[in-house]
Amino acid sequence: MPLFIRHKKPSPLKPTANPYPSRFQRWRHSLGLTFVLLLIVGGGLRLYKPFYDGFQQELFEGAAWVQGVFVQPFYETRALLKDTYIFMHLKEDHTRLKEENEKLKWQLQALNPLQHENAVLRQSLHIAAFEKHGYLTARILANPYDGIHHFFLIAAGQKEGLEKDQAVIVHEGVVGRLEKVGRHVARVLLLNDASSRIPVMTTTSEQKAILAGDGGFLPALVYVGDIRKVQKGEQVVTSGLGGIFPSGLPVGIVDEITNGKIRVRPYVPIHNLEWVHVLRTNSEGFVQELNNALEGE
Amino acid sequence: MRPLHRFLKTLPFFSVLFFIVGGSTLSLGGYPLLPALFLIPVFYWLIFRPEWLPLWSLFGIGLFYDALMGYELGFSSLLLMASVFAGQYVRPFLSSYQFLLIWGAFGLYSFGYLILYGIVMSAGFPLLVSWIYGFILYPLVTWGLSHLHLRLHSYG
Repeated sequence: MPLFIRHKKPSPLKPTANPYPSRFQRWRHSLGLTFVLLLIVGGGLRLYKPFYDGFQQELFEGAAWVQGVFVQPFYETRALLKDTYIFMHLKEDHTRLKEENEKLKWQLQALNPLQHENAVLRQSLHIAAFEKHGYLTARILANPYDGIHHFFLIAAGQKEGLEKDQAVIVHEGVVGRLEKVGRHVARVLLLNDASSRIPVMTTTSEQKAILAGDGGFLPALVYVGDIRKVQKGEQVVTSGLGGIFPSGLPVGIVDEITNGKIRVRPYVPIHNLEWVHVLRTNSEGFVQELNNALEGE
Repeated sequence: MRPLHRFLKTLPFFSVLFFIVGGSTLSLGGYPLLPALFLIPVFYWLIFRPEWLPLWSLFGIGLFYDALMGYELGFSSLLLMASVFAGQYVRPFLSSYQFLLIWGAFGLYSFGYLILYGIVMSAGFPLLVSWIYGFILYPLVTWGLSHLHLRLHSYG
């Protein structure tokens, strides 16, 4: 009687020889052919630009729609929970807002003479008036992230009059710009994305620079006029160069300066946002005007 | 084949889509779960039931992923289709009774995939963290997929 019973070794996942090939075996034999066909057809259509652009646009909208539909129940549940919380603290909020309102009324009274004085001084010094932009408020559909690009999908698009490269902000500061605009959905490139570049300036040392994202949490300042003048804790605002972002929008503060590298901490809590405002700037018009002016020279 | 059976056979394809759409908004500690998370169902079906996840469906999944993430269309399709070939050669060496071996094979496969992905997309540390998440989550996701697998198998 054997002491040890030798178990049968489990067989590998290998199809046994079969004189009548199954559907899978037939498929397996045609794998290379399918691969080559897909490569030829896909590659050919990729090179045909009119088809590719349209297809990419449609696929982007379709993918965003699927994502939106999937996320919607979770969004509604979160909104319901939030509403319940707000409702429970309604009385405290009312008192706080009443106090805040009183305080703002006093501040407004103090600001009225200053506003008038500012207008008179602007007129005397012949300074152009600020350009006022309208804006559209849009809900964030989702923020897909796979370690490379940082962006949001928002529930507004060409139907709402949005255009590529329009600035996206919230009341704390700059969020990013519109990278792709579909019919009902648009993609917002965030300021910490590796391909984001925003012309900015520091408020105290008045150094112009470019805010360049690198995929991390803190974007960096590059092409700084004089790097020695920039101090830690300085505010960074948009400079208005480039025509996409109006000047003076808050961006963040200088968080660290190490080995000539300046890191900026954005004001906007990017991962806690629900709504954003899209400024109705006309960046394409700006570039067109700039080109016309340069050609005129 | 009855319509119900036809529909059931498409569930592996939809399971991959589910992990892409559901996982794209998830992150732990600021680091993403994708793309390693959606490689788990891809690997699972390619190893256990490759005929339920044909080449053209991976081509479509790749296009969907690229469109959602804002990349040039086709790169993920190419990588996923290459996975089919890799799966074809790796499959005979794996036994369904040796879970650790399959888990290790998934670790190697996903690492190779993410290396290629990271080189082309110029990404680094977040992808490595994503790979670690994927590797850790593999048994849990596989447990769910194996139940789906058995259910589909029972329908013939």
